Amino acid sequence: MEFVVLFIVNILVFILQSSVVSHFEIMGITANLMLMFVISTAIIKGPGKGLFCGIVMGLLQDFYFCEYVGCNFFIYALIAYIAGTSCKNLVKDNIFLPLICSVASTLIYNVLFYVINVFLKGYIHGEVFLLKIVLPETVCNAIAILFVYFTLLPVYEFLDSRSKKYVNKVV
Amino acid sequence: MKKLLSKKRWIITLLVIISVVLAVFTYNRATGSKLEDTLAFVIVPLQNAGSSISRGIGNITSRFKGTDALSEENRILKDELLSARAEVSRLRMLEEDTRKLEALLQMSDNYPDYEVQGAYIISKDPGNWYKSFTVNKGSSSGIKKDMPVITDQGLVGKVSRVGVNYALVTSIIDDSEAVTSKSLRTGDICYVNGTFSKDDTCIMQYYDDKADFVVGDEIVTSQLSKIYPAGIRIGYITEFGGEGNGTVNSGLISPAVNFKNLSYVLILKNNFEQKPIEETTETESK
Repeated sequence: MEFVVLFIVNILVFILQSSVVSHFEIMGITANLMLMFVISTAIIKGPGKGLFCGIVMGLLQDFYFCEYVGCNFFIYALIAYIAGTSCKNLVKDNIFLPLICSVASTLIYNVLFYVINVFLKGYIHGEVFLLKIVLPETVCNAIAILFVYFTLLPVYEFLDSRSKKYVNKVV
Repeated sequence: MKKLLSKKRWIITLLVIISVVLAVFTYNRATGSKLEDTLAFVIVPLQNAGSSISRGIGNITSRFKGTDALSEENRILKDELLSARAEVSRLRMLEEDTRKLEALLQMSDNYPDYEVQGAYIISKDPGNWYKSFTVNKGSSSGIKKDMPVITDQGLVGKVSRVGVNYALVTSIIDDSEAVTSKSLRTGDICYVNGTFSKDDTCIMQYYDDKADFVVGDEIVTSQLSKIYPAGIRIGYITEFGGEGNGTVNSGLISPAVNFKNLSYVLILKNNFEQKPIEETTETESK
């Protein structure tokens, strides 16, 4: 059941990102809410649910915007899994945890995307992409994750406490 | 720890294998799979709603523009309208002449009328790398792969994949696109590529050293192009040089279409794609 709800929320975030947020760009750059949602879920809920969110989100982006399926699927799933496993035993309400994860994930996403889709085609001007795309997006995402993470954290905690109560009553 | 490490390794290996297999099987497909089409029945209506909301927000914010800027724009547009009217009346006379001459020569119509389908843009690529977008008309409205997409200002791109109720459009400023085109003034051939490194500009490349291009030349699609009809405006040359590599001359083109606030496009439903030779001979022999 929880996975079905996560699946629906994933689709909603995808729609929000692709048809609302991407219309408003600053210097040609938009924040990647989808990546931030996947990361937040992976940090709070652990690697299993993070991996699920990453796979669904990557597949959605591949399905509707890419020449082939596989690139975003791999990158999102990998980032979500790494974030999930490495943040498993950390305190969740520290502000630096999502910030560091956001910066690291944006860098990993863009480097992997560059290597898979640009570098292998023969473009070697890496510094142009670093200045034009990666750095502005890192800043945008770092601001975005504060909103995403600190709205998701109480929601997930509330749902967890409710489900625990429910289990206790039944037992 | 060892157990955890091996589990990690397994999951990552599995991810790599699955994504490579998926990529091989789905590269350059013309239509969406069953799964995509099914999901699209849920997603596309919601995207329609979302994009109309963001269009509404855009309209509201543009209302707060200062009156000075608006009156300035008004003045510029009035000037443009005057010159456009003069141009239209001149072209009408030319058209009349051409029709008479064509009748004399008994030539067939060189520029067939296009059947056009209008479509709203419902979503843009979420990432910052590619410049593709989806529109709210698909194969149920008769859209097929490789149909040209235009606006009243010029060429936008082509349809690269079709679902039942949506179509993915790759724009000419996307890196994967290359359009065979020519200068309207001299008819010299050049190739227009999208580029990663500059926002909303295209690179033009030409091999002929004697070709006559000057800054400000209007570039249109040429008759050599496989999928675009000839004579659709692409943009204007802004500068020369740039990312040339010695054998190829290159320059920059600023597209006639403003890709930043694009919300409505026209899809030309005549398919201009030329069939491969084997295919035509096969059908003839049957």
